[in-house]
Amino acid sequence: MKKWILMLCLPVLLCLSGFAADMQQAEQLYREGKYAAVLGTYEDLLRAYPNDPFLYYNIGNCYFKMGSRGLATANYYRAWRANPRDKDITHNLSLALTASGEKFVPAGMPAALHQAFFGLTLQELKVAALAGLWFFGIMGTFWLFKRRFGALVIVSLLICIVTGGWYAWRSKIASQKLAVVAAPIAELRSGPGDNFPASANVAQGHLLLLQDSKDQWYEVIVKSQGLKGWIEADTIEKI
Amino acid sequence: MWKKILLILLLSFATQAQADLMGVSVSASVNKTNISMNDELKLTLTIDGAAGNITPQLPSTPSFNVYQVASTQQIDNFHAITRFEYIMMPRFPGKATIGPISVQYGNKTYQTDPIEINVFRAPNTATPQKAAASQGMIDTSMQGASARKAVRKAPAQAPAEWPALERILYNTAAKHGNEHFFMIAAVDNASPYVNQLATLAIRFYYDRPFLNNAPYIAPSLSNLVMEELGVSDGNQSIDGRNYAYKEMRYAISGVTPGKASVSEAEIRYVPDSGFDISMFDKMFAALSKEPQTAKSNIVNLTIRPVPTQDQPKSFYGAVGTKYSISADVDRKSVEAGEAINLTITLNGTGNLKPTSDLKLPRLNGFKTYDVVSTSGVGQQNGSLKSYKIFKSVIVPSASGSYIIPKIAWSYFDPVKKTYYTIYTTPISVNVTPSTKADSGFDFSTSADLGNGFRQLTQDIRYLKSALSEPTASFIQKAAAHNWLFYPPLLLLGMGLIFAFSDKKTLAQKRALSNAKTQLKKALKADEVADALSTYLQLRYRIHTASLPLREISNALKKCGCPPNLVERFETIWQKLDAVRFAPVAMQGEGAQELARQSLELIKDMESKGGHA
Repeated sequence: MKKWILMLCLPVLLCLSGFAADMQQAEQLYREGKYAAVLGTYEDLLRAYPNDPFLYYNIGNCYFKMGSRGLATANYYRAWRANPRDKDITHNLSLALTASGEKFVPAGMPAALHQAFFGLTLQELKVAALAGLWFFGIMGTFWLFKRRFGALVIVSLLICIVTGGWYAWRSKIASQKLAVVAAPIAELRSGPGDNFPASANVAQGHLLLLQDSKDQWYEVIVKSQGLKGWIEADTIEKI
Repeated sequence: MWKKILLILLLSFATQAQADLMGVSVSASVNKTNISMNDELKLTLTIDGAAGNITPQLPSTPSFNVYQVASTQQIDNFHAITRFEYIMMPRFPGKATIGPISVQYGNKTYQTDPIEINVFRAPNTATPQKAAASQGMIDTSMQGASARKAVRKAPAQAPAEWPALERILYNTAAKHGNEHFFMIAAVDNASPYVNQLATLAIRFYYDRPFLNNAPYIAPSLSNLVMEELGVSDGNQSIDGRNYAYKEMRYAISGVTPGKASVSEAEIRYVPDSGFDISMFDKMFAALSKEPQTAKSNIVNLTIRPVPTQDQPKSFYGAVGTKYSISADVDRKSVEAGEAINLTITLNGTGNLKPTSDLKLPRLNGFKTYDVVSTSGVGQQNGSLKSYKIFKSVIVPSASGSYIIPKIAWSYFDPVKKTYYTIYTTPISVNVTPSTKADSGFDFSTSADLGNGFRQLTQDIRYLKSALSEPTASFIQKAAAHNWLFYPPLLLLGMGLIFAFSDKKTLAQKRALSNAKTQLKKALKADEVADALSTYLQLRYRIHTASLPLREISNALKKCGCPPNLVERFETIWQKLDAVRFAPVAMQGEGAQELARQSLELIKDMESKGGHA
């Protein structure tokens, strides 16, 4: 029996030991400053463990050390979306954005409020909204039939409105098509083509809101400047 | 005289300078690699980028008698090409090698690649008459005269050791011994794989002269692609007659598995009278005589699919042999964000034109652009050589030392019936940080944080050495099911429908049925009073226990109960009170009457009695 259990567990153990070895080797290379080599390891691991925020975080670290703030920001952003409560991710994202002249917390917004508003992942918020709705649904129905516990019905309604509204707002923010300038420098043009004059140079790391696309060009708004124009698809990284 | 010398010196100087600038290339080619003892071989030596007094050093060729027939020099825009042509007559059958030909030019010695020739013994026929047939179409008038003297003999079969195509052509031609002009076509492989090259030869045989300007119409193809390999001349003795032939060779390859065919090729000729007439008369004769047509036979092929078993992922459809691959970049040291041109070159014996484009593997740290390919074919020593060049632009996103890994490419060898995979060599690229972008925020500014702490710089935090804690499974599951939003809404909807369709609660609705049940069973006034009391509690939420009659009546009026019903209730309630405190004899029939009256009252209250 023990043999059977061991045989069943063996592939899992082998995978885990392979993963640990890869992570250890990557860390060693990172310490030696061989960031380009580390990058490949983490990207391979990311294919095996998709959307893991810590792998995105590590990839972001490699890019940051290699001087590519744009790609570092993109990866920190992905990590932060998946795990907004991790302080290291928040710190590095904030630092990468600051390095590019962007702000992590919008001007005029208290940091604590920003942290609270983004404190839950979209998935967690969805479940909270769902729970609020169920609570209100049950209490409301009970009241309609029995006309009892009126105060609880009001509380459940408030919870439902807050969680539902929060989720809806965050969903709207998440639905924005965000990108970051990945090339060392990108040109903002007045139309989708090289024949249109360049209106501005945008340095790497600046956040962009994607509006439209034509062929290999995107219409974007530079978030921090409010500038609108067309940018070549190859110079940006979609988040 | 001096002018001529000066011109020659100038030309020599110019071509020497060009050779230094552009380099000299020397190549040798033959018109066919399989010949019989009766055939003659034409060897052409081409020196590209050189002119002047050049004397090629031919290697020792014991298998051939060699005669130089011509040398030409061509100079266009200071670009010189020198050609030497040799006619080689085989001396004995077997495999023969024309070794490297050396050319001394400037201070350098150039050498050609060796060429292998298969020489086969001629079939055992009557001694072919050395007529002008060897000169092919150049002097057709001579052949007729010699051919007319030929003696008919039984057709001979080509020796078994001849290459398949030569044998088929020879034997097919032998069946036409009674015709003066005929055309045949044959392939060396009638069932090639898709994209595998086969050689198609079309020969026009003639044993008497015909007028020049005989137009040739190439065959049309079905499910095949074709590349020209060249034209050659030859002769063959059939039934004692000496025929000359003109041969057109093509490399063909199948497009899709299944049937394929080569249609008839045509040549239109006007037979010459053979008399020695003037050029004007020949032209007139060409106009006045009806041209005749010689057509080749149709050639059918079956195209085989390449095996799918063990087919590598890097197989793009190439079938052939001796392929080689190489990769190169235009710069090995660039700044981040700068483009690098990556070129991958394929060479080999086979047709690379119809193969799919190579897909670049994912290159970590690089943005890769679509691959653009160019391809070309060329004939070398009777076989088709082709090349395909893939070009892509790759852009490193960040600084560092990168290695473009080996890139795999596979082909199917039809002889060994095996897939082979070849690789490029890895290329190292050094990427320095971009100087075009801004340097970003300066984190090195120190700041006094108080309490003896001074911040020197800021940096990103260190790596994570494990994976993130996965989100709780119930959150993942719940978030994945959007339908979970609907049941509470449905529940609320049902409640609302219930509430707005009839403003009574469930308890209120239950009040009548409860009262009916209780009143039917009631035998005592107390029981009737209890039933009525319960009804009032459920229907109007009036608790009668501690209330005097007047207050109960007021409460009923507040609930919208009409005054007449309130009066009836008061009457019944007073009777009930009276009966409850009356002697025992008053129970029984009196209680039942009160129960009946109470039931009627309740029924009226249900319909007209308002609600709580």
